[in-house]
Amino acid sequence: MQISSYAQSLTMRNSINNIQTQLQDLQKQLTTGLKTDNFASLGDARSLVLSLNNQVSQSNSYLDTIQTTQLRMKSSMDVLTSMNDIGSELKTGSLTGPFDLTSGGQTNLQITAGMRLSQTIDLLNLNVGDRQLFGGKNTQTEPVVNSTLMLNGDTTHAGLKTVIAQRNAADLGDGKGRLALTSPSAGTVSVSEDAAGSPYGFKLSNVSSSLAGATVTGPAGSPAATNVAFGAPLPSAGQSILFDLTLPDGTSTTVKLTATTDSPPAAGQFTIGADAATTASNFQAALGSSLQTEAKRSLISASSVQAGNDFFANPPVRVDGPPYNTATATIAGTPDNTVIWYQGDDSGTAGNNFIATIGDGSQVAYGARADQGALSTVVKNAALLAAVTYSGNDNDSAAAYSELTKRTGSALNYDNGGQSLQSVITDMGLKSATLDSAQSRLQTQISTSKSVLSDTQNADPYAVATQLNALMTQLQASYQVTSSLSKLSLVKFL
Amino acid sequence: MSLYSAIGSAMSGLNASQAGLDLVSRNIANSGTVGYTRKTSVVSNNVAGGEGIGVQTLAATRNVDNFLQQQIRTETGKSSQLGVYNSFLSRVNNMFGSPDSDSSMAASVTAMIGKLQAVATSPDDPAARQTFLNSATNLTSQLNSMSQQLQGMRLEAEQNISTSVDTANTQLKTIADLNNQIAQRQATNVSVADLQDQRDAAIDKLSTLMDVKAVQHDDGTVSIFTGGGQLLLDKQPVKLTFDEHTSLDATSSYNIDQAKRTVGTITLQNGTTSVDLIASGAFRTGSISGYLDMRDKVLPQAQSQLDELASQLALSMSQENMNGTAATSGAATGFSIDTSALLPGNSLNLTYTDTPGGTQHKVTIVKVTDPSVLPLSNSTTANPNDTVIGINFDQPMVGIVADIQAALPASVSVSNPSGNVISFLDDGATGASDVNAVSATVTSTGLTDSGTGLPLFVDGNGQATYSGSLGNPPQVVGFAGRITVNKAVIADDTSLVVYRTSPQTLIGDDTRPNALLARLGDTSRQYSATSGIGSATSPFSGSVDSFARRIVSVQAAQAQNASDNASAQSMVSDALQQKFDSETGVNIDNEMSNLIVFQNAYAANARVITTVKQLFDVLLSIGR
Repeated sequence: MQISSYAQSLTMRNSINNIQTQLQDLQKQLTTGLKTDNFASLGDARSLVLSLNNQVSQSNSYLDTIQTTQLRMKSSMDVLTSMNDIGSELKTGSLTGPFDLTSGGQTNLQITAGMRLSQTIDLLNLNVGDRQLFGGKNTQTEPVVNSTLMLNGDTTHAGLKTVIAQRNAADLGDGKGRLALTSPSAGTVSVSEDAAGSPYGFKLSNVSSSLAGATVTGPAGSPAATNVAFGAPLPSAGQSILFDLTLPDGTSTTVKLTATTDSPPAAGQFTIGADAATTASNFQAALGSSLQTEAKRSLISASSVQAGNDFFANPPVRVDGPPYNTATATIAGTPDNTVIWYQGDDSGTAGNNFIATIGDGSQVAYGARADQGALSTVVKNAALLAAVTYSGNDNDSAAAYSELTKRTGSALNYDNGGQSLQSVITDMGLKSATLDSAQSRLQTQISTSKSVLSDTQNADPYAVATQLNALMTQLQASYQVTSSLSKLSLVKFL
Repeated sequence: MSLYSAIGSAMSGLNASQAGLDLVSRNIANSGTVGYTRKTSVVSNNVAGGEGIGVQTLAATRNVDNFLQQQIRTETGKSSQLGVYNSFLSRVNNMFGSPDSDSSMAASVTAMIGKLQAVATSPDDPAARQTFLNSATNLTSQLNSMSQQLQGMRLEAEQNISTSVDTANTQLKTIADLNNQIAQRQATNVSVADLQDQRDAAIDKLSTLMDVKAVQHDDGTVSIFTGGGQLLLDKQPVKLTFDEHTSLDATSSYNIDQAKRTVGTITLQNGTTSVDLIASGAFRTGSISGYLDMRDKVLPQAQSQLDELASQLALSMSQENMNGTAATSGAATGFSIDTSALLPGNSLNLTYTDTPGGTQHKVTIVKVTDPSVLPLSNSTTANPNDTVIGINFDQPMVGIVADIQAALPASVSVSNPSGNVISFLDDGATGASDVNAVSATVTSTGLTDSGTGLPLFVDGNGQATYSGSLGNPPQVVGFAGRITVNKAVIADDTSLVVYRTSPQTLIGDDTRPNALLARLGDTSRQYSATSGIGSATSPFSGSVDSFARRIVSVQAAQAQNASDNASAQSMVSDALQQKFDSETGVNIDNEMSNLIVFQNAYAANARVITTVKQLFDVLLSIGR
């Protein structure tokens, strides 16, 4: 069989071409550091590369979310920690502070509370990256109105002070806390609430008596009333009767009257008269006086606290008046007549308004809100302390102040069982820790993915260099053979 | 026996040597010519009256293995077909860019999802919203441009077919001409070897275009048939025509029905008969077959994958599920649903159970306004477990209800209690069926107050709602080329957040972005098997971005297979060609040794003449 010279040189040329193509490819790998520049020649690794690239890109979006969320959470926690400090300061002041009035009719604690209120409001109105942190989904409006407006209101909108004043008027009534004292018959004294279903004033809850010969009925009926009927024998000195009264904020107090033979009787005592009728008359006068004193002390403080609850409610609750001192119903305040302290969003569950997706199927709900109980407690009690004033001339002021601070101190201690600010901070800290661990997990995942990606995509320079060397040797050999073969022709020998 | 006859023989020897030298010189000169076969001179003893009178030079011949030649033609046909596959598919592969930079459209989908997540984190941030819209626009432009490139490549295939058909006609003409010359020369005993070389070259060229068979005749001519057996050339070549279409889009397709065909076809004209060669399956190998496959199968499939992606992208954002309300009529219970919001392509989903037995049936009732597409096949929805019923809604409610009832068993009763409401009730006391659930899948058209979805992607510059409407052609066909981001959303990027007006959604509300994220990431989403990914009984299901990645890997794998097949095939055909070239080509050493032989023969013959001359001289000098 013959081999044509053309075919022979063609074969040689093809194999040299082939080597040169391979050389070019290896050179490209060496310079770019990559095995290939297209998906097709990645071979079976392409699904892996596609999914890893996707994973890296997806993880980076999660990381972005985590970073933004962390910034918000950390800022929120800073704010809440400052607020917690303010709450503690006011709590300590409430429980230990003395009643020393300054010129403005307020104690040092109250003046401090006013300043802390402004600070708290500034903290809650903190804007991070063009975004309000404490207004729920309403991120573009400052969630809390400024302290001056909150306390004083303006010409058309009632502030906290007005709401307190109106509530106080409604609770005090004629001074006896909306209780009416009458004598339906000689020897009998009747104490009754002035209107059925009215939320205002003292509420009779229980009467207990050790007065001999006195028949106590009630409290019963609507409006609730209780009758004390004196008869024979007359009570003897030292025997007493206790009126348990519920106050507007749900707390209670007790008015105690002790029978005495002294005339005139000391406070909290009534003089045993010659007969049942005189004793009853003395009893009625002493009870009226005791109720008035109690009203100026615990009732007015409880009334102010309840006014605070009303003002910070959503919607705010107002006394249905004027007239206020005879009002028997409440009415919802509107944005037209009352300062709405919280301007943010009130939908959904406060504290869980935002969802951060931090991994495949892994989400964290976050976001504290100013109207959340733990937060509004601080604002409310600071505002309450700042809103109330006392007269130095009134003997009951010190007791009233003590009643008020007892209540603010207890509220700031979260005695009512609601979530405390500290626990909100702890909660958020836990979520932040979740984010931290998700972040490090994602970072590990990204670096693992990237290392697998580079193993898959990157050319090994040693392997490439070795292959290049081998090919170069092969090519040199081919040239050598070609050159030798070209000399092997009969033409040369003729 | 005389000196004259000796001189005659020597002269014939000289001629034969000259002819041999002539052949040697031609062989050497053409040693590098492609397709040239080595010619050998054939000599025979010249006999006259029973006595040899010298040597006779016959026509030069060539030595060709016809079987090998036919094999080469078959293999080069395959090789050029696979070459076309390789060149087109590598371009499809290039559309996905480099894996290192990952600029593929799958990466764009992921990038868009990442930006949407940033919107979910900061819905109130205008920059985040605009960045997301920007990434969505990038994705749609990428889909548009890929779709355009695919259609451009189809058009290129169409043009290449046209050019190839012209070339085929030219080659057939050349073969016919050469056939004539060869027949004439063969009849007069003149060498036809060189003409045969030329004719082989023409047939070779023809076989790179299409699969042909050459049949040799005794008179030296050949007939050419297609692989399918149609006669292309006997005495006269037939005429191949191609009605090239100058513009193609995704809806253009080949159809055996000439009225429905919107791309060119190759017709064989022979006298008055004409045959559609594509319909008769004449093209099995060769570049024309490669171009046809590209135009009618491979590229349309790539297009349908992009279309499916675009469709699911749009529908995932805009589709809402509306539950039916419970309804009763006497003892019969079931559900009713308002169909007024239904767009063509939207559906009612009915679930009912046969009792007793408990076999549950899922029925998808698809709204159609073009009755010509009815009845719908079960594969209209990707879900393999439902029964699809297409109903023409472009008629009064009475007709709609009657059509639905006709498609359902009698135990489920369909009625129209009021307006556009349709009720599906069971058979009450009889107890042969229970209607379990009725819901409607509707596409929202407005930006607010129709759920948390958003028609972010719309169809074409006219901003038409995309609802996957079934018509002629269906809306999904070529949607990847038309998908755009809703201009109303671009004009007001807050609509990415604001999903209702009463109460007005706050701009810091992450409800809608999170809902959109969940829709895109929904791994239970199913994709139509007509795109060639997944099957009708087990469709591909996964998030939108995972489908995009699947497309990239499927297309890249296809490109790699094409490249592997092409190089494997070219090795086969190269090897055969080499074998052929080796056997039929010129070996210079052989020619040189022949040269020496002829040179010696010439010298020897010349010596004979010199000797005869001397003998004559001696003879003539006798008389002096």
